[in-house]
Amino acid sequence: MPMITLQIAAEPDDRLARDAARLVTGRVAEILGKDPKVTAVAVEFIPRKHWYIGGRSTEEIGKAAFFLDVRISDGTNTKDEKARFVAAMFAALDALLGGVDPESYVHVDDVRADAYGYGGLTQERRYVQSRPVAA
Amino acid sequence: MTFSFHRGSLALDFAGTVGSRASEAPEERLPDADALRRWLAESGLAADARPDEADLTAARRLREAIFRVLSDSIDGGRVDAGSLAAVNHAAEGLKLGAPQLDARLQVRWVTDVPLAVALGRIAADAIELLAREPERLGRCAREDCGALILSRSRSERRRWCSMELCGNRAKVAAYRARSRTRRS
Repeated sequence: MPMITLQIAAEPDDRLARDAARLVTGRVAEILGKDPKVTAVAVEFIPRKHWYIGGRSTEEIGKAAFFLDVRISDGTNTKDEKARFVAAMFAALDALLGGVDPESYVHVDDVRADAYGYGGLTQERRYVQSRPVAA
Repeated sequence: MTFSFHRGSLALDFAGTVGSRASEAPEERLPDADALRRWLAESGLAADARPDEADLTAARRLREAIFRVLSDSIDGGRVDAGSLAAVNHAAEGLKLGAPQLDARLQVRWVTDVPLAVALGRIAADAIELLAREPERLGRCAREDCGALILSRSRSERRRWCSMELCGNRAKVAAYRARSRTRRS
């Protein structure tokens, strides 16, 4: 299930972190069909003066920016679902952050199920365990 | 405390969560996050919201920005740019939810961030007030009140935020002043 990291070029803000995490968790459930109970989100704030776009800091540009990295098991979502998710997340974070630079990225990272997991189990192992045993 | 919703619009009632603004001792009616929770529930904006201290800070910041922008408009002066930006930013919260009707035609906002949407709706209401007929905006005429109010029309100017409270108090005060003058 998704491990998500969200980096935001903005001053640290507890309310913003909470709302961003809720928005991402909600869209991941709604569009990618992932269980929100096992969706983890880590939000990190990067000073605007340390986040550069086209050689200029976002402080200089005067806009917020973000990078959202969502790790999901390879093959569990379609190309269209991922495209919808990228569009929806950009719109939601743009609204939450009060306008972001267009060079704000969303990465849906298809990772191999045999190399990824939580609670000490790979996603592949979890999948195999959930299947009925053939008679 | 039970909140009052008589000033003519949501944004004005929100600005009215500071009472007696024109007096020397304004009354903070949102002293803590629980008061904000009750206001949001009583206003019908967010029945199940659980605001925390950070939400309270954001709500108060928006409230003061709304008050400043609307006051500047009433006074006919230059509108404070920082307050304007704060209202516009908060209004973006409307994009983070959607109103949905249930089978009984009750409206429910579907969102992952109910506080941001609630504040967005308040900010949007302030924007609509200015976009429609800013001439209808005014202030309660009682000296210490100063609440922002909305008249029904441009021709029918409203004097008091509440006839039962400010209207009656002002009339009693005026009557006493006239009585004193007659006696002296």
